[in-house]
Amino acid sequence: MKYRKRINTVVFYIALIAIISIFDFPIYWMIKSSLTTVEKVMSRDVSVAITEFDFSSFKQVWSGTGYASSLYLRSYMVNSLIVVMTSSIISIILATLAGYSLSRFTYKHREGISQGILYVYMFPQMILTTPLLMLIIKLNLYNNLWSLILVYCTFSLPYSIWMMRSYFSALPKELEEAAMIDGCNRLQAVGKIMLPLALPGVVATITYTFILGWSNVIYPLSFITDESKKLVSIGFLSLVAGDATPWNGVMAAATISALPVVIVFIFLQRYLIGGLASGGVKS
Amino acid sequence: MSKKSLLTKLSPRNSLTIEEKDNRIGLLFLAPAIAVLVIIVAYPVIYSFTMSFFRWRPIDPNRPFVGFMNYLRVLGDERFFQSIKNTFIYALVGALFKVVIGLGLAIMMNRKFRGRSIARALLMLPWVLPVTASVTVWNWMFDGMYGIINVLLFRLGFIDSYINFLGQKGLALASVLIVGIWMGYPQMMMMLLAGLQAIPTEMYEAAKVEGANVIQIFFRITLPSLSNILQMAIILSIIWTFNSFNVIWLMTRGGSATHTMNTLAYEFSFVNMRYDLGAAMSVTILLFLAVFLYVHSRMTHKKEA
Repeated sequence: MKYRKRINTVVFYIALIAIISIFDFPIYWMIKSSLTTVEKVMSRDVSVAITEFDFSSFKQVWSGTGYASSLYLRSYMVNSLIVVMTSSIISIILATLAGYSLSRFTYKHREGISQGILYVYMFPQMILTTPLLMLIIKLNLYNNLWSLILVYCTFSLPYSIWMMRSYFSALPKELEEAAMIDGCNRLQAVGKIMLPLALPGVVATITYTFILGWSNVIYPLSFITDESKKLVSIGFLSLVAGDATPWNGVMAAATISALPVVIVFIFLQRYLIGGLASGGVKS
Repeated sequence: MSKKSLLTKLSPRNSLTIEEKDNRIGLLFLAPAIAVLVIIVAYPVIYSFTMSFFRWRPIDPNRPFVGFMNYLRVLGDERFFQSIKNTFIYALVGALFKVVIGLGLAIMMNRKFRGRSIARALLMLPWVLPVTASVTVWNWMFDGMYGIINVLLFRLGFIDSYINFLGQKGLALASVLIVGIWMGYPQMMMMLLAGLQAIPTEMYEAAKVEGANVIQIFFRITLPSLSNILQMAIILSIIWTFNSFNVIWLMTRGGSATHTMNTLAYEFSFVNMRYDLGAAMSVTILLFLAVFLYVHSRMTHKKEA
């Protein structure tokens, strides 16, 4: 019996490692290719092990020299950080108030508004892109990072409201009632009592909107043409040029572009997992 | 406090009950978020709807009303029906694989074992990776000259000459589907894992005592207990995949007969500079989406009842 159990465990681990190797292979291949020289990367070499550690492609794309001379990877990274963090923070502030409101008060159409906000999150961004472009031109924000900060709220805000609403609903009402009897007003009760209790939810929500925003393609593709204002999610695509593509450089840029989200994910995944699991399902 | 309530009683303007007054604060809290959403979501949708009935190009200030002309033009485009077909293939097949893979992995992750959180993190990486990074590495792997997939298939003797995966009808759609599934399964895994963890362990223990095997346990306990969340995962996955634009646009730009409704609308608006046709296409997308959202709302109601 004990023997059988051990075999079971071994089989389980073998299956698990096989599955993880298959699913993570592209990520591994990205890193391996980025550490290879141009000659080697085009040599149709299929050896899986990383045999060389050549950081020249990283140096080139980071400093913008050689084939990467039209690349401003460092500004792309900074631009992405500015846009994604600002829109996530604006969203979470508005969403904290709105989510609290939707979970605590009993005005008309409350359920309808909640449902509507969830559906806004499920809208294809394509539908909004053209009219948002007109709006951005009207506001004189074309080629301006503020345009992206504003439009990134189209997905980060509804998601944040929906999540904050469900986090607040899970907290007992008595807590802030006690605070209000002690002389706090509503805003103080939310800020001093509710928000600290919902902090794991806040962290999860910001992490999620950060990852979503970092990945977004359609908005920076449509609203930014100025090379120095581009975001990293599309910036390094200019390196891809058919058969002349320096694939080691592209993979190095892709690896660099992935680093911030992967780091955020590694440190905050335990918060994220609960939020991701309930995203859109919990009502 | 007492001063305030006294004022409330005395002042004729404040004839609202305390609860009503409180609810006003609630609306005040809600207002900023709603205002932003009206500007960046509701207004654009209405704008798009209006645009679809006018001749509307960015460089031409002359914008006459044309009725359903734009819709007829879109209908007449040879890629229109192809794009609808592709959208449904992409959404349904994509969602199916995402949910099946997600469910399988969720069942594995529901087991307690050493290294579970590392395994879970590694399985979530494809979702964490930025879309452009994912797409470029897949483009590189699919490359028709030096890509690892071609090289491997060739060396193993499955193919005689290198394949241009993204340049051939059918193969291109299959390729973008694989990438879409690869990026989307982790979300389903996490959602279904949460559902699995809500099933009381007593049920499994009781079944084991009565001598049920793994397959019986899966069909008699796991699947029925999971049915609500599974339905929800399926419809959400269909909606998300239906909306997807990134993968296809970045891999093929809709070439090799891979256009979905979203990429075709983008091409109308941003490549052909025909905002009016893009808007007509957008409204068509919304009509389809409304059906999915209706199904979703029926499910939530059923769950609450």
